[in-house]
Amino acid sequence: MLSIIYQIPMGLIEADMEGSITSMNAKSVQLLMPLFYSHGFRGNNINELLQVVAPDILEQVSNFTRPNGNIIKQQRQEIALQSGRDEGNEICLLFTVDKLDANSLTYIFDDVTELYNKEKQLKQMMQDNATEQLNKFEIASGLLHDIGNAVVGFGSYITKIKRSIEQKNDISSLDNLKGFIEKNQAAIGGAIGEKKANAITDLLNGVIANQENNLTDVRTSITDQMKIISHIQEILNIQRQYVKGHYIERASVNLRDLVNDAVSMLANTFEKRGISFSLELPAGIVHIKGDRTKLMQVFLNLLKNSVDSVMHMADENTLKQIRLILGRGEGKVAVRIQDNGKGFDQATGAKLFTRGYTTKTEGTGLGLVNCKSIIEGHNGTITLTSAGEGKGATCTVIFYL
Amino acid sequence: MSLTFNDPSLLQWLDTHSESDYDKLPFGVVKMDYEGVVAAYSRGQSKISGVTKENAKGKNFFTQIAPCTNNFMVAERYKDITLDETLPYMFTYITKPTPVTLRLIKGGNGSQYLLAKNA
Repeated sequence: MLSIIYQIPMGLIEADMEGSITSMNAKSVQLLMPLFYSHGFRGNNINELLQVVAPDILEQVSNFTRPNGNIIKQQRQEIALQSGRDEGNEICLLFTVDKLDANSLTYIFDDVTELYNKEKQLKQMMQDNATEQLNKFEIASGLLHDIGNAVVGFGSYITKIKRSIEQKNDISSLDNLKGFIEKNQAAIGGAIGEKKANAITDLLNGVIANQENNLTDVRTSITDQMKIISHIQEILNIQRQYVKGHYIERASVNLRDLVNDAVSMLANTFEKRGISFSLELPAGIVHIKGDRTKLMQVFLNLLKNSVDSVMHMADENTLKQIRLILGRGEGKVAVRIQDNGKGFDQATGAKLFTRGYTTKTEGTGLGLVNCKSIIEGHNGTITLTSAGEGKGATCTVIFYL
Repeated sequence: MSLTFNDPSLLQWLDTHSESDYDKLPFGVVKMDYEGVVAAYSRGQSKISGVTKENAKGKNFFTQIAPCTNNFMVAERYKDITLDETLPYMFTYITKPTPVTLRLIKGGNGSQYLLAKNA
């Protein structure tokens, strides 16, 4: 039996409370002797070594007051090597210590260095991957930011052109000239002949018509350009949300305040357009983890959709109503926005979250896609339901806590 | 016999003598090939380790006879091209810790030696 104990592939030591070793097997010498040696110990007292390489284990042993029993069960202990070829490396031992009687302890330890090193390598690889991923996201984020800025600049330039052509075109001057000639048609006819006077009026009419046609073309073109810019901005928003969602730490957001702020921003719109708005908030604070700006963007978008919906009701005399209800449930928070607007049929409902699909004449079909992406990035869901065309709609956002 | 444990000419003597001569020395001698397979195991070594000659010969010293030496302090030192070094160590007589002094010597003719004496 002793020879089996001697040969088993894990370290076994029997020592007294002072650490003096009375028995040890081959593996224990193999593993511990280099440690004893590197710290200048003879190798016959385990406490001397533990005091230096694993004081925590020694403390647990010293503090154990019961007459016998298990003191430490499979505690992992990393120990730095201070000499030999592996200097600077660590070994990892799994310690179990039992008290046999008042003055007798057994130390059992297994060498799990290989496993420990593999774990360390895996951890390092995961860390490297995460860093690489983060760098990629940072580059992507910077790129999106730069493109976004360029697009905003381009949009401002187009707006300037639009304003300029509306203010500085010659149509009104030509109209004035035409009016003057028409008023003095008889006198001009008398001076240069009626035919020539009529020809001037016709020419002016033609020039004015051409100018108006050109202006209409330019207006259409600018509107198209603005739509394209808006489309690009929506795409950038979605991409930003995707990139941001991967590495931005989420802060605590009070949903009650956020919803209140979104409603305040639209209060004027409700009033101007004769919309009756009602808000139902629970008492107290409703916190979720998230990005306040993005969430604000979601609720403004959803509320604007409801405004748009009630402004396109078939019967203009019906009272336009929007209602927002914030509620708390078991492990979740829900925000419901109800309107009595134009609603939609089942077929339309099925396509509402499809990229590029829109029911608005000037929509990009990206607003709801963007909202969905942001909400899902906050561990939430969004659904949009309607009893049918002309029967209003309900948007339900649920955040799972 | 006037040879001592620290004698600088010990390698030459060991290379030219046999196990029966090693038995007369006041310290233990293990003769191995470069793989660690035991060719000779002196009586003095048996006294220190508790392992008999018959049990030791033909087996790998570092993995089968004295796995306690299978580390960078002892076994791995024999990977050096030349070696003659003395160090304190701990043997276990079955399981009883026995402080020893080891002298590790590597010869040039395919043999290497481990000498041991009680500290």
